[in-house]
Amino acid sequence: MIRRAALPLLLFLVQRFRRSSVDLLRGLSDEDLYRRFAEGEEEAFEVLLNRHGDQVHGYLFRYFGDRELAADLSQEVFMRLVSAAGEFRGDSSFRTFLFRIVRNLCIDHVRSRAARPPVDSLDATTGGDPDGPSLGDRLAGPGPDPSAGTFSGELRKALEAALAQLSPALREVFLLRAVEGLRFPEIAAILGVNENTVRGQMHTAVTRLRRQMGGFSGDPEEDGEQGGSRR
Amino acid sequence: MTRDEARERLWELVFGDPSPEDARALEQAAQEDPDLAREVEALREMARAGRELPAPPLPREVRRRILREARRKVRGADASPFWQRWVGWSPVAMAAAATVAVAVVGAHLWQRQQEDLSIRGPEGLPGVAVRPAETAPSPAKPASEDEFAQGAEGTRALSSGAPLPETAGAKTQAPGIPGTPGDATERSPAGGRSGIPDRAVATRDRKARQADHPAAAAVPAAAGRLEDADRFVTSDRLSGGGGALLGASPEGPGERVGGSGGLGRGFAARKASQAPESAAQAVPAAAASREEEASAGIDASRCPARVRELRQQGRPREALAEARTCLQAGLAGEDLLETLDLAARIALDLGRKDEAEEYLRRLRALPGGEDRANRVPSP
Repeated sequence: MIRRAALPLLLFLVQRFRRSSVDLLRGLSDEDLYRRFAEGEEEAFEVLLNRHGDQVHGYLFRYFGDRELAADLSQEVFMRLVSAAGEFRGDSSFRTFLFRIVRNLCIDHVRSRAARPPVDSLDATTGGDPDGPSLGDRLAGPGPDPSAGTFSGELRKALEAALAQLSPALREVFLLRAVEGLRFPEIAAILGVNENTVRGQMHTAVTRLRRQMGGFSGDPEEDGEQGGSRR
Repeated sequence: MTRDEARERLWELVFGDPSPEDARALEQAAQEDPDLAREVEALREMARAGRELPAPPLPREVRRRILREARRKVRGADASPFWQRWVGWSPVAMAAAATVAVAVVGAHLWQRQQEDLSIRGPEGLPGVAVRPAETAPSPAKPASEDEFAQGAEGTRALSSGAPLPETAGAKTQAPGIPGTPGDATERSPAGGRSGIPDRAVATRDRKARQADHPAAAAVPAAAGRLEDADRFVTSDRLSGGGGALLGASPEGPGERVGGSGGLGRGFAARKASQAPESAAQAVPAAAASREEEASAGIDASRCPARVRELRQQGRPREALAEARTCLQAGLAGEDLLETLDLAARIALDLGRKDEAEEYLRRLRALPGGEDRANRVPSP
């Protein structure tokens, strides 16, 4: 009996020990964790994945509106992160480094499917399947929407529809700033452009979204197509 | 800041990071103009809606794949020891895997133990030792007709529920092994008519008592080792049922020391005696074996067929076990020849040359067995 219980008990203890080492790592910054992973501490990567996995996946889902594609690209993002562990020098923050990978992957993917019809409207289908769900359907998710019919639910749907009509560059800036909460210098570092350019793109994105959302966003009739730097 | 300028920069209040002065100026402009205030509110609603956009979590499977890749990267593709892969499992999965592993190993060991017990054979398999004939206190002696008659009577009594006849040596202790009654074979001075292995006796005694059988009064409980007897149910099947006759083998009694099984005893007795088979012995031997088989629930005439059938089904180990059981229970005539022939062939198939030679040796010693033995491919 004791011998039978010994192996599960041993494995349980080993796992508990491992969990406790993961708990200790949770207090470290992203940069320290990534360095530790580069030095061979695999638990550090688990903590990083716990911190940023959902964020990256959520961003990719909002950007492409495709759950499977978001999952595939998320995996690819973290695979690249694993491969690039030795290249991180700490010049930028880890989040900037991570979203640069995300962005490069998005660009690669958009280029790779450039031959296919672009997904520009809610009614257009995604994934190259003419009978497949539209971007709006995909963004709404598979299950029933508990907020459907409410003002916030309607507003969210209107925003999803408006986002789907934005150009990828403006959508990218809006998502990074308004949804992911990145600061303008970070976004500029990720995109590799001037900070003022980012601000101008954000202004343009907000203006276009307000126009697309119509009655949900105040009085848009006076908004024009003015992008560019405003500061 | 003019109204138009304020209107142009209102978005910064919500999505931008204006300086404190700019923020104050914009808020003031919004407070003074209801239209601007409405616009600011609409922008805040938009920001709230943006934060509430659906964001499904990273699927578990993807997460698992990523972590696996990360581990592989750290350890190298083939460097991960097996137990480290287990560590990543959930406790439930580990417990389930451990339970399955324990069950499989346990079942396997139990099956092997049962098999060892039931087929412990004549070739000195582990745990079976045969005391040489010279250590036996009395020389091998074929049972007399009277003794056979008495044995048969005992068996019939057991079968019918009548009291067993008293046997002279039933309560004697094994002379060759003083002080070890539990390991000794009870033996009558006349040559083993009541030579029943103690465990078999104990089991039979207990069963008889449980059934409130009258014969229980006539059967001695040899050493009170009922627990041991319980563990050897098969032993009981083979030797206990025909108990009074087991020691009455024409070859005479032998002794078995060491080991724990009771199954090799009949053979041990025969082997220790090393008495040559003869035509004169064949008749009582056949009679005894028939009764023994009948009481043990073995149909001798079906033995070769069963062994052959198992062999044809591609179950050589079971076929060999069956053959051993039949041979230990005692066969005679054509059944014996056929079973030895089959057993030798199966043992050869299984690569057990020593065992095959033993069967061939026994086959050659039987009348008409030489030809059969010669037809078996040489080991």
